[in-house]
Amino acid sequence: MVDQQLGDFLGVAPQDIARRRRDLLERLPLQFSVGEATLTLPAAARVSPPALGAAVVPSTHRDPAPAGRPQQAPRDRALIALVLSILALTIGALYVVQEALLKHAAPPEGLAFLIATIGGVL
Amino acid sequence: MLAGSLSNVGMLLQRKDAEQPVGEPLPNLVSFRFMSRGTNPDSLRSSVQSVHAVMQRQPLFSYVVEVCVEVPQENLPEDTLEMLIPEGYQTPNGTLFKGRALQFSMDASKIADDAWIMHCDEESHIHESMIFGMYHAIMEEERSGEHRIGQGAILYYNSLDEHPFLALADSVRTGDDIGRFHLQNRCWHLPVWGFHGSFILVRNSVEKKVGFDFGPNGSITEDAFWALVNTEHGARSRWVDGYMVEQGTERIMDFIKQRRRWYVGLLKVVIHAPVKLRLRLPLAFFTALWSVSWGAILYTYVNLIVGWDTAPVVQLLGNLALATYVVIYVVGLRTTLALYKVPFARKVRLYVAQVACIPLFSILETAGVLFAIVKPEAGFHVVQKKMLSAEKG
Repeated sequence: MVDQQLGDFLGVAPQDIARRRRDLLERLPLQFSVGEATLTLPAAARVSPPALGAAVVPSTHRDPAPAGRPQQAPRDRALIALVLSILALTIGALYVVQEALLKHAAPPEGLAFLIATIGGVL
Repeated sequence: MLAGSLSNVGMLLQRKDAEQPVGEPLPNLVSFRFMSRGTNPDSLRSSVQSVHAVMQRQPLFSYVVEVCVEVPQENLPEDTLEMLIPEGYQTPNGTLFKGRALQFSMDASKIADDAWIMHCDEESHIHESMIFGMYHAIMEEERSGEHRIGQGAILYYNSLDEHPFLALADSVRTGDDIGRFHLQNRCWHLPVWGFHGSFILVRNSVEKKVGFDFGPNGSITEDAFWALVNTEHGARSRWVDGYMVEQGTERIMDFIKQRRRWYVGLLKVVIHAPVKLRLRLPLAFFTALWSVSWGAILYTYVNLIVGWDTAPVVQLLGNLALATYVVIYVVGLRTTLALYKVPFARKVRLYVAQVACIPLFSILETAGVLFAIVKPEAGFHVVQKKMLSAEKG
């Protein structure tokens, strides 16, 4: 509120007032000496968090054209082609490899049943 | 196979990204709200700076940056609203970890009810495309009055140079965003597979209706818990175009523990979320499939070694399942490389490595679930990350 009033009076944005106030606080003495001891204030002790109003960065976007997307964006055809190609290529490659290279032996009977069951479920 | 296939369907339904909007700036304030313990100040500062840098180039709406931390921060950019969680702070229901911080920040924030919040993690970097997506989403939701909760895709390319193996392993997360999460948010408007905790765009009035105080059981994967409870209260979800950039894991053990946390957290959501059974059933079903997925992977490798014959139907289903996951990984990498430019030769090497390493990634993913079954998550494992690069791509 004070920043707003002062900003209106000086003709500057309230954020600038807040920024200048913090800059001023930053430049205050950091060290205090008492006898031989020296006390140094950390930065956090000097600068209080800004108020909400002062922290808002206003939008400077100005465009008189109608807002929003006029219609839904088109489908991503390149992605569709990629997905379908990889599916086809992978399944084809796996089939060729499995048929051509892998040995085929029957697993133990109980295990075969278990595998078929798990495989079916998955 | 079902999860992978649905993810592929989500990809087939993808639309091109939102273009740079034209029109007036949004009337609503937007808060970029960061959650952090505050023990990695460089990473946090870098993330906040990324907001200012992008918003300076695309000032499409007024914004603030809110940072909720447990340790005071000394080097944040000016105008950052710092919310320091008092040491002894407890929520009425005893919510822990990030949920506790989210509840505190919601109570402490001074933003108006009609403001929108973009939830970010400590290492979340903003990409320009996300600002366009946010603009369109907020504009549409304010016009319709639906005020749906938005979610978009996250990329993990910040660690691609230093930790390429694990960055490639995380391609599955980006691929799943483009696929499954896109499907649930654009087509079903329901969090079937939960939500991830960053890149959540929510109106303050909606967030305040439910809050985050779900108690310890809702504290492991607070994001999925929150999404389901919101759905129970009538909220719906939507897809937001654009990308957020985050840091992947940097250690294999972190990768495994992260998966373990998700698994245990989702189980708790299924069991404890105070929502109708029909809202929990889909998540229960897919979590159950996840629970036994290690069996399929184990069988595949055993079969490869001993050369057992497989019933043709099982073989076909297995091949199809693998193919759907190859698609997810490759699409994840493709999305990453669309924003993170690398020379052509390196791009080829990355694609080859991506496909070649899928068997290893499947072992890591399996290890996460087995670890969860053998030694369930007791707390909230925080992944160690240092910000490797502030502005890439």
